Amino acid sequence: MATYAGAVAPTGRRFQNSALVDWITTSDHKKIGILYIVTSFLFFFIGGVEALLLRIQLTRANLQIISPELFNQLFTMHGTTMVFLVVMPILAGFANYLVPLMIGARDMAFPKINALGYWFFLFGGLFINASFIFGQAPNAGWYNYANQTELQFAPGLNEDFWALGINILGVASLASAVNLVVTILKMRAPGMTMNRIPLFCWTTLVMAVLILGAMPSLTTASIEIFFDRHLGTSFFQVGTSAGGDPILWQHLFWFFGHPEVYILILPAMGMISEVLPVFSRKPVFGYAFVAWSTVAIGFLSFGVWAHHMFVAGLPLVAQGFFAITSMVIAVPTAVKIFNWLGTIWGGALNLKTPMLNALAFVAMFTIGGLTGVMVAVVPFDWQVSASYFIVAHFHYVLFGGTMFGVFAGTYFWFPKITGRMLDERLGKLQFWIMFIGFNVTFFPMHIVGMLGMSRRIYTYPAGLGWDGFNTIETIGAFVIAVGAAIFAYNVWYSLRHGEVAGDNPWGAFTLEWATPSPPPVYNFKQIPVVRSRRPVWDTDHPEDPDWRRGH
Amino acid sequence: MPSQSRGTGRLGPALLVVSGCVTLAGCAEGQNMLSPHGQGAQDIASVFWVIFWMAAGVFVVVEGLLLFAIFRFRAPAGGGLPRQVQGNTPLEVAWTIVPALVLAGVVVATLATMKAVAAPAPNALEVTVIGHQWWWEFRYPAQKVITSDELHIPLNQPVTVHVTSDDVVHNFWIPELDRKLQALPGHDNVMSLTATKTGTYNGFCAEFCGVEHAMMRFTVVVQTPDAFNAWLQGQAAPPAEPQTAQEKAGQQAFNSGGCNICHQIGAMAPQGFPDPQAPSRLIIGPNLSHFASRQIMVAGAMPNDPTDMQHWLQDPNAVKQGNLMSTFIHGPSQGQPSSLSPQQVQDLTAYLESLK
Repeated sequence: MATYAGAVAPTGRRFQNSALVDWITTSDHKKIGILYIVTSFLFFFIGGVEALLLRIQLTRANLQIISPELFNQLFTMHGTTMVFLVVMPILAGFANYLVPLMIGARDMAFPKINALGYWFFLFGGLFINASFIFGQAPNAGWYNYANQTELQFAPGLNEDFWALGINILGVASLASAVNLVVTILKMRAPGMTMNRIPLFCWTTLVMAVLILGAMPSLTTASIEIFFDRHLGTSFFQVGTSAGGDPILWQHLFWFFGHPEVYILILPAMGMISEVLPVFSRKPVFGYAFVAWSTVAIGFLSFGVWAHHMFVAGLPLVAQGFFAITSMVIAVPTAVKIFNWLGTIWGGALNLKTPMLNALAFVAMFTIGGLTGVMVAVVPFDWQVSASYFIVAHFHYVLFGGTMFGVFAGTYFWFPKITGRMLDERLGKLQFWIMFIGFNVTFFPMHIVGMLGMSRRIYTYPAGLGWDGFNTIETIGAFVIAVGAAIFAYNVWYSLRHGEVAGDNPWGAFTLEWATPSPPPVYNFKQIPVVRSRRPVWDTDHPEDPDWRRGH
Repeated sequence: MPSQSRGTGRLGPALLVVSGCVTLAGCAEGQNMLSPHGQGAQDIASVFWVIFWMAAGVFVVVEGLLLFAIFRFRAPAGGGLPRQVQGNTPLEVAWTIVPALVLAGVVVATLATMKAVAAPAPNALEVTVIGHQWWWEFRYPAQKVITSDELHIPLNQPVTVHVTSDDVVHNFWIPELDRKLQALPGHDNVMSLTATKTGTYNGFCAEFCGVEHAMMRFTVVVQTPDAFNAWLQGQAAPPAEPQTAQEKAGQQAFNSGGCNICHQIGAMAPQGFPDPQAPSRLIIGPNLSHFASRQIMVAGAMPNDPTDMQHWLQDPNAVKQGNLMSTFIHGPSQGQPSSLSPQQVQDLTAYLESLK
C-alpha cells in the first residue's frame, strides 16, 4: 500500500516509501516511466556488449574469435535490442513520466493499460533474450528478410523467437501509443491549448500516431512469416501456386520500418527542444514551425518506405517517386535544425551537461541527416545500400541523434525524477568520452562502406584496405563503453550522494518544474491554469510573462 | 593457376584462408567505388561528388553557425537574460524555400543519373547471374556456358546481366564497376554492365543471406574482346579428358563418389541433392567443367591451387563453416574422419586441376 509524501519537500531519497509490491502493482505514470527508463538502460548495456563482441571479431581481417553463427545472432540481437528494447521504451518511459506533468494532468488517460504496456515490454524483452539460453537467438538481422526466414532455410527456433517476441513488444508499443494520444488530446489543464503544449508533447503525440499507423504492418508481416513457417502458407515463398514473393516482406517491413525510425527520433527531438531553450534562457525559436514540421514529418514518413528497397529492382518510376518523397521529408527536418540554431542564437548559453548533449544532437544529427539525403540519391544508394555507409548513417541519427538526446533528457530530468542532481563533472567527462568514442567508431564506417565493405559480414579478407578502419572503429567502441560505464557510475553515485535538487534547479519553463522533486503521486495540489507556452517562466518572471507576448 | 607456393603444405586451414585472401586481394584491382572502372560506377561517382560537395557546404554552414553560437553567446559572467525572441516568420520562409530549391536540384541530378545508369543496352552480351547459398553461378545462355566464382566480360562492351537467386535473397555487387542489384528468387532483375578498364575486380554478396554471407565473394575479369572470346570458346568446349593415371583415378572417384550429383562436368547436368529441409528442392553445386581455368575457388575463400584444393577436400567445414559441402565430406572440424581417403583427395585434386 503506497503512502504519499504530500507536499513536503523531499529529503533527497529517491523513491518515496516504495515496496516491491508497490512497484509491481503501480499504475502511477511516474513509477511506470521510471520502470521503462531503468529497464531500457539495462538493455542498453546488453546491446552495447553485443556490439563490443561484434567489433572485437571485426578488428582485423580473418579473425576467428566468434563463430559466424554466433556473430549473426549477435548483430541481429544488437539491432533488435537497441531498436525495440532500448530506444522505443526509453522514449516511451520519458513520455509516460513527463507528458501528464507537462500538460497539467494527474496521470495518463488509461493508467492500468499503461502498466500493462510496461510488463509486456519487460516480458517481451526477456522472452526474446531467452533465446540465447537455447543458443538460438534470432539470426537473420533485425529486419529479417524473407525468404531466408522460411522454415527450410531457418529450421531452428531463432525466427520464432523473433516473430513472437516482436508481437509481445508490439502490445506494449500500442498501449503506450493509445494512452499518449488520448492523454495529450483530452487531459490538458485549463488554458493549455494545443498551441501551448511543450514541443516534447508534440513530438510524442506524432510518435504515438506513427506507432498506431505503422505497427499493424509489422504485426501482419511477423504473423505471416510465422504462418509460413508453421501453417503451410506461402506469403513469402516462391515457386508455389499460392503466389507468394519475398519482396512482399520488404514492403510490409519497411512500411513499418520507415515510420519506425521517426518514432525513434521525434521524442528525442522533443527533448532537445526543451533543453536548448532552458539553457539559452530564451524561448524555443519558431515553436509553431517546429510543431508543424513534426506533423509534416509524421505524415510524410508513410510515403518513403521504398527508399530502403532501391536495390530490389523495383520499376524506375517507383524508385524516382520514393527518391522525391525522401527529399521532401528532408525539408521539415532542415527547418527544425535551423530553428534549434535560432533558439541558441542570441541566448545566454549555460553549457551544463544537458546542454552539451543537446548541442551534440544538433551537430551529429546534421551529419546523419546529410548522409540521409545522400542515400536518397538513388544511384548513390545503388552503390552503398547494405554497406557500412548505411551503418554509419543510421548510427549518426540514432546514436548521434537519439541517444545524445536521451542523455540530454536524462541529465535534465534526473533531478525532477529523483530529487538529486547528477554529478556535473562526471557528466561532462562522460559526455566528452562518449562523443569522441562515437565519432571514432562510426565516422570511418562511411569510408569503409564506400570501399566495398558489406554489412553483416563476420569477417573480411586482408589487403582490401579495410583493416585499419576496422581497428579504429573497435577502439572507438571501447571508448564508448568507458563512457557508458561512467554514466552508470554517475547514476549510482548521484542517487546516494547527489546534490539535492529543488523544484526547478535549471530555471526551466514548463509545468513539470512547478512540482516538487520528485513530484507527489497526485502531481499538482491544484491543477494549474495556463496562460502561455512557458507557465513556469511566467510565474518566475512576473515582470515579463510570455502571455504578454500573446502566446 | 597457382600464384605463390605454399611451402610446408601442412599449414592450418585458417592460415591458408588468410594467405588465400591476401592472394585474392593482391590479384584484384580493388573495390573502391570512387575508383570507377565501369560506366555505371563512373556515372555514380560523378553524382556522388556533386552531392558530397553540396553536403559538405551545408555541413560547414550549419556546424559553423553552431560552433559560432556556442562560443559567441555564452552566458555573460554578470548574468542577465537575453531578449526573449520567439521567432521570425520571414526567416522561416527563407530557410524552408532555400533547402527545397537545393533539394530540387539534387532530385534533377538523381533522376538524370538513374536514367543513365539504368539505360538498357540493345544487342548486348547476355549473362545470367544466379545467387546460391553461398556462391555465385554465371551463365552465358547463348554460348551454353555455365561457370562460377569468376565472371568474365569484354572491355568497353555492354553486358546485360540478369540477376536472380536459387534460394534466398542475395545482392550482386562489384563496387568498381557498377551499382548493386538484389538477387531475388522468382525475380529477373536486369542491369547493364560496361567495364572501361581491363583487370580483375572484387565482387561481394551485399545482402545478408545466412551463415556464410561473408564468404560469398566473386571476381569480375575484364578482358580485351579477343581474350574474352578466346576464354568463352574455351568455356564452351567440352571439358578436358583426364590424361594421367592419377587424373583418371580422380575422375573415377568424382563419378563414383557422388560428386557428380551436385557438380556438373561436361554435358551431364547435375541431378541435384534434395534439400533436407524441403526435399522437393534440389541443391546443386558449381559447374566444374573448366574449374582449373579459374584463379579462385570456394567463392573467393581461397585461391585455386592444388594445396588449397586438398585442404578444402579434406575438411570443407574448416574453410567455410556451415557450408553445404561439409554435409557430404566430413572432416576433423566436424569431429569425424574425412569421408575421402588421402589418396582420393590427391586423385581428385589432380583431376580437377586438369580441367582447364
